[in-house]
Amino acid sequence: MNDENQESDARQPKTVDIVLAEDDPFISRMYLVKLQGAGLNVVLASNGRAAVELISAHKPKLVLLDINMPELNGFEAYEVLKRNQYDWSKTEVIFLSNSSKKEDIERAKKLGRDYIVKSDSTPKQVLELIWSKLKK
Amino acid sequence: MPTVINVYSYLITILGLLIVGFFVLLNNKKKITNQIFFLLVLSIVLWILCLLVADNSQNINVVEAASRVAFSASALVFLFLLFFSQVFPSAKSRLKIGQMVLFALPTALFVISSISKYSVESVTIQSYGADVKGGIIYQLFFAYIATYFILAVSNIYRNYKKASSKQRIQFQYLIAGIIIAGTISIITNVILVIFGISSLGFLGPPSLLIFVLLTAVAIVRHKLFDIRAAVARTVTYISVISTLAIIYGFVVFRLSDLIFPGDILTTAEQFFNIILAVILAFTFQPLKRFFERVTDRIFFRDKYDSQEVLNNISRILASEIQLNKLSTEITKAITTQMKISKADIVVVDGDEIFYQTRIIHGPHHDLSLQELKKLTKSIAVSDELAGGERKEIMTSYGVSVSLALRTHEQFLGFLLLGEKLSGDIYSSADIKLLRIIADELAIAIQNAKSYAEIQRFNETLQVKIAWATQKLRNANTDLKELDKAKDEFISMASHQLRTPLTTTKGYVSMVLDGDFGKLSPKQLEPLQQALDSANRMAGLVSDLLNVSRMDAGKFFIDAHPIDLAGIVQSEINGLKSFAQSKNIHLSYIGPDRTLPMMNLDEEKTRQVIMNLIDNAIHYGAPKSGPGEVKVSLQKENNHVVFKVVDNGIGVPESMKDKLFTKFYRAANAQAARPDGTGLGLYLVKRVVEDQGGEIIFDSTEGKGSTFGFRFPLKTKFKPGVTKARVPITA
Repeated sequence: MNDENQESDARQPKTVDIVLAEDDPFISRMYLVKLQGAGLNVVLASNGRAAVELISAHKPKLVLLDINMPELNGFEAYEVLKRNQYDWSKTEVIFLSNSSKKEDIERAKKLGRDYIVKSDSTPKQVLELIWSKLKK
Repeated sequence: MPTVINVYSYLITILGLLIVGFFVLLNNKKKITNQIFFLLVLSIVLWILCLLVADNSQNINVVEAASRVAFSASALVFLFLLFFSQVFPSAKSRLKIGQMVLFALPTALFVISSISKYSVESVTIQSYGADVKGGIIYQLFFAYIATYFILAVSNIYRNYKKASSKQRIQFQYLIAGIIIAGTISIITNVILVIFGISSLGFLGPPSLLIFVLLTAVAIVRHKLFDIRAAVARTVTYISVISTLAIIYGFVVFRLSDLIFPGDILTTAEQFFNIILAVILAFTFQPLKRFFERVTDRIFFRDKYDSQEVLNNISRILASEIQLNKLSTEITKAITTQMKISKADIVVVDGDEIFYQTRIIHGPHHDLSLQELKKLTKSIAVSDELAGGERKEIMTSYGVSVSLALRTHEQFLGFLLLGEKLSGDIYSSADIKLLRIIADELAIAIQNAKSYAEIQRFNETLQVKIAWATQKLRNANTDLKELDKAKDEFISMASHQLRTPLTTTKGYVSMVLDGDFGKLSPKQLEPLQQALDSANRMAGLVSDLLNVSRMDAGKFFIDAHPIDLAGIVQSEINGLKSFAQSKNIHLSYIGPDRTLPMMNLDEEKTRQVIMNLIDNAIHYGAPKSGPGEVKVSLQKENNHVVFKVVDNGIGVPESMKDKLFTKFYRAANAQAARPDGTGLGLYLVKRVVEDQGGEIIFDSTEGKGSTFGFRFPLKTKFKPGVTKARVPITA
C-alpha cells in the first residue's frame, strides 16, 4: 500500500506546510532534508514555545511534534494551542519520541494521534506516514 | 499436822529433782556447769528431804538430826547457787580455786556448827511440824544466805549483760524459773497463809521443781536434743500414769464401794474390775498420744518431720527449672520447715558468682567469692569450729552452716544457713538432713544452671540475630537504592544512545534510498551493512531499555494486531548480510497459507525474532563444515510456531536451567562471543510468556539448538481497536 506514495513524492506541490518541532539539530536537519527533498514546505521549531508560535502563525496541514523538548514538551505545546482556541481538526499531528514510554503512547492514543519512535523508523518510513496522513 | 498431799508433793519434787539432776550430769559429765548444777540439785534434795523428815517424824531425835542436816544443806544450797551463778550458762570464766575456797569457808563453818547449839539451839515437835529454835549464829546465818543470794543474783545479772543474744535466751529460762518458782512459793506459802488459806502450801516444793527444770533446759538445750526427748517422754509417761492412777483409783475405790458395798470381793466386783482394766488398757494409747502432743508442743516447738521436709524439697526440685525460682522456693522451704532464720544459695561459675538469692548480707557488702572460696569444704558448722578464718567469715555474715553444693562432675556453689530460730545448735539429725538436701539441690542446680546458660545463650543469639538482620536490612536498602540508580542509569544511557543512532540509521537509509544521488552497486553493499549494524545496535539498546523497565516494574505489552510473517521476513532481510559475513547460510520457510493477524506488541515481538535469529547466527557456526540457520514460521494445529534451528555449538546440559535468566551466559557462549549482554534470552522469555506464548527450546551441546516460540491462534484480531502505528515494508 505504500509503494504508490513513494513514487508520488517528487510530484507533490510546494503548498504543503509542515511545522517540524524537534530540539535535536541533527534529527531536525535530517528530517528537513528528507521532507524538503520530497517537495514539502517545512518550518523548523527547536522548542515547545517556538512550536506554539509557528503553528498558530502558519496553521500547517501537519505537525511533527517531538515529545521531549525544552520550554514546553510536545503534549504541553499541544494543550497550550488547544486552550488558545487553535482548531486542531484541520491539522494532522504525528508525535515523535525517543522511546516507547507507555504513558506517552497512551496519551497520543487518547488524542487520536499517531506516534513514532524515532530510532525505530527511517526517514523514509516517516515520510510515508506523512503522505498517508496528507492524502486524507 | 502435815497432810498426806503435802508429803506427796515433797516426794514428787524430790523424785523430779533427782531425775533432772542426773539427766543434766549425764548429759555432759565433764562440764563444770553441769557438775555444779548437779551439786546444787543434790543439796536442794537433801534440804527438802530433811524438812520432810523433820516435819513428819514423831521421834524427837530424828527430827532434831534432820533439822540440823537441813541447816547444813541450806548452807550448801546457797554456796552452790553462788558457784552456779558464776558458771552459768557456760564455764568460760573458770572458777578460781582461791575464790572457791574463800566462799566455801563460811559454808564449812556453818556446816560444822550445825551439830552445835550455836546454830540450832533446840528442836520441838509442834502440831504444824518441827519447830526450830535458832542459836546465837542464826542471825549470822541469815546474813550469809542473803549475801550469797545477792552475790548470785548480781553474778547472773553481770553475766546476762555480757551474754550473746543466744545465751540471753538461756538466762531467760533461768530467770523465768526463778520468777515462777518464787511467785508460786510466795503466793502459796506466804500471801495465802496470811489470808488463812494454808491448804495450797504443798505447791511450794514442786514450784522449786519448775525452777530446776527450766534451769536444766537452759543448760542442756545447746547440747542435746535427746535429753529433751527423754524429759518429754518422762513427763508424758508420768502424766499418763498419774492420770490413769487417779481415774483407776477413784473409780475402783469410790464407784465399786457405791455399787458393791461391803468388804468381800464378789464375782461381779471382780468382773467389774476386769472390765475397767480393759477400758483403761484401751484408753492408755489415746491418753499417751494426747500427752505426747502436749509435751511435744512444749519441748519441741522447732521439731520437724524430716521425711516431710525431704518430700517437699524433692517436689520443688522436680518442678522448678528456673534458677531464681528454684533457689527462692528452696530457701523458703528450708527456712520455714526447718525453722531456720535464713538460708541463701550462691551459685558459682568458675571465678564469678553466677547467681545468688541475696538473702544473707554482710555488715558492709555481700559475701565475696574470695571469702566463699574458703568455705569450699563440703560442710562447715560454725559452732563446731574452734576459730580461724572460716569461723570468722561465717560469724561476720551470720552463717551457722555452710554446705558446698557439688555433683560428681562439678562444684556449683553453696547453701548457707543462718542460726535456727530456736537458738539451738544444729543437731546431727539436722546436719544429716541438710547433707541429703544439699546433694539433691546440687543436681537440680546443675540442671537449672545449664538451662539458664542456654537461655542466656538464646538471648545473646537473639540479639545477634536482630543485629545481623538489621545489618542485612540496611544492606538490602542500600542495594535497592543502588539497583534503582543502576536502572535509572541504564534508562538514561539507552535514551541518550538512541538520538545519535536515529540520525546514523536515518542518514544511511536515506543514502541507500538515493536521497543524495545514485549509488554504484559497489557503494551499496557496505552502506547496507552499516545500516544492518545500526539496526542491530538499536535492538541492543532496546533490550537494555526493556530490561531496565522490567526491573523498575515499567515493562508493559502494547498489543496491536500485527502481521507476524511480515515481521519475520523483514528481520530475515535485515540479518542476511550479517549471516553472510559469518559464513552462515540463513534460510526461511514461511507459512503455507496467509496467517491471521496476531494481537501482539510489535516492537517487542520484533525484538524477540531478531534476538533469536541473531543468536543463531552468532552461535550457529560449527567447528567444522558450513553453518546453517533455518528459520520457519508455521501454523500447527491452533498455534503459530516460530523456530530457529542451527547446527552450532549448542547449550551444555548443566547450563540449560539458567539459560533464560538475566545476565546469564553459558560458558561456551562466552567463549564464542565475549561481548554478549546476557539479556537477549531473558527478554525473549519474558516477552513471549507475557503475551500468552510458550518458549520452544531444545539443544545438544556441539550439535546445535532449536529456539522459538508458540502462540495460540485464539487471540484473534479485534477490528477497530487501533491501526498499525508504523507502516511495515517487506
